[in-house]
Amino acid sequence: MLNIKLDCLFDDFSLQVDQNLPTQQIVGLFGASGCGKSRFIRQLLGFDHHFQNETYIQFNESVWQNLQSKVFLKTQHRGIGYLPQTIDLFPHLSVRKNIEFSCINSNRSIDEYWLSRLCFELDIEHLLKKTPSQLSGGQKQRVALARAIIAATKILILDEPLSAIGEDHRPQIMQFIRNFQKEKQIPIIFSSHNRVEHAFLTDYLLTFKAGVIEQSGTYEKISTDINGNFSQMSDAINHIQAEVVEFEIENHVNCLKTAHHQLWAGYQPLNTGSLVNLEVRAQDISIFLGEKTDTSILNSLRVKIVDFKEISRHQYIIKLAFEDTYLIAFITKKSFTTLNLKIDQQVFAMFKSVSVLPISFKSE
Amino acid sequence: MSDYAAIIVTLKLALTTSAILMLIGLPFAWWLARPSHSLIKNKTRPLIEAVVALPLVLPPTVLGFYLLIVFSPNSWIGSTWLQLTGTTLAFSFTGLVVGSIIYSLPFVIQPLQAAFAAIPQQLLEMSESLGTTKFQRFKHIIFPLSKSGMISAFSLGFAHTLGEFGVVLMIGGNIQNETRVVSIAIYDHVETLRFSDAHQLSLILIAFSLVLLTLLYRNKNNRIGFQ
Repeated sequence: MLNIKLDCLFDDFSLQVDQNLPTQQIVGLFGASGCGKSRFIRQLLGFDHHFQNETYIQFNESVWQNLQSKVFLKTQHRGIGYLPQTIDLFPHLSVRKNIEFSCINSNRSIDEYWLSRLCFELDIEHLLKKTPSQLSGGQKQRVALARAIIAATKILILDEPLSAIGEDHRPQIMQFIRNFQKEKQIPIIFSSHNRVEHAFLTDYLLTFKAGVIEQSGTYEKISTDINGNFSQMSDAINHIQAEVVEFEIENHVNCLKTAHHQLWAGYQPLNTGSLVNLEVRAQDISIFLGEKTDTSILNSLRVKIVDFKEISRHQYIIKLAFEDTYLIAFITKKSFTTLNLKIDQQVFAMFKSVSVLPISFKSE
Repeated sequence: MSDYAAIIVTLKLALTTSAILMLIGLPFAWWLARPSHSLIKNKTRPLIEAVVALPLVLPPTVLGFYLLIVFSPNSWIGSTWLQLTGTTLAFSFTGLVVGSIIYSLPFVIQPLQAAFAAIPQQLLEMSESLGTTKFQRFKHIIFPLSKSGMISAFSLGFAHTLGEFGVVLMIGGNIQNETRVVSIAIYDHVETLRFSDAHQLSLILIAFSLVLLTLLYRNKNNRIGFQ
């Protein structure tokens, strides 16, 4: 458990947190820029303590900070691997020296096997002899991630870890971060304003707004909680896990299946039998009362309305039970009243635009 | 051979002064350079910086005059020194060192301060999170990143002390093997119309300073830039 109680007053901003976070999982911090994610992270590191009115941070059995009893464990003793948003590689050291920097104090020699695997996974092997000024933005961030992972003896804290990383490396690196957490059993806290990153990485989600935590709970709970802000935002997304059945060559589209449904998505052939993640925007889902076959929309799911809520004068958010998970959809108030939708009603959710993420779900 | 002795005294003075200035200057410039959340520090810093920079604008005679007063056995500093050591600070090598330290202070502090201020706070925080102690941070981050500033500070302090004249004239006088430095010797030669001796010493000083400054600027142009 990571117990955090913060009351900080900055010049123009206040941060209030009272949370117990799980340490067996990946904790995701979500919120718009300037909502307090980075300030929260800096507090965990023990920086900016002159702004504190009240602080209590306890990591498992060790108290990191307690302002009342004047306990303060120095940053260097917290065993944190930290990737700051500003990346901050040491300009005078080679990439390799940067990555090994945390070994200076601990006198531990670096595990060469682990280092080479890490460099392979993050695709930075060819950069080890270079200096930071010779790297691109994405390369710098991958190097800084490697440095943080090597340093993380107790916890890994990543502030916008994928912001500069290109689309080509993103799935692989997200997968690696997940595997790292499972394999080494080291808790991870990461911040991002990117929903896809949270959908893939986050087990336990905290959403920030203006220095306070709005919502906290498992990602599955928060992402389908129609009363919370997280799912009510216009860019809310659903993820459906599906297995690739085949690539229909004549129509150039993949046929996929879930437990009880067949879906079509993706114009690039996917590996038959692989698990993929389909991303459906809540805005792209349409509701039909009966099954439609005379339509150009390919994907149709049998769902049940579980809950609904008016979120603006013209819009409703509805929560739909789909197989063993939930989906959320936005529809206009006019459609909602015209169709006379009710809780427990069986309807069909149809959508045509789907992005396919070639990465499997976190539970796998 | 008095000129040879003057060169030795000058080098000794410049070395001692710049070495002591580096010792004082490192922590002092660090204190001045790093951002602070202490209101008192932020309020007093401009004043302290102004005091450090004073020798840049004041005529050396002003500094020399006040030092002479402070060194005199009538002031408490002068009398305490006299009681402790049995000698006066005025017209002694030690007195010259004290005067030179004050006179060359800005030439050491300012490059150091600039070098320290150029180290991003985030890099220090980063190295702290990576488990380093204060000493390791100095060794692995601060020192390499401000090395060229340190070399500048030392060389400028050294070169500036070499060329010191007014303060020495006021508080040191012209005592062979003790306070007779090159600049005083040249003045002396000119006064007594020994132009060839004056030429000789002046050329040595010019050549030496030119070499030193060239090395200094070469070091400046080679330093690692932040990207």
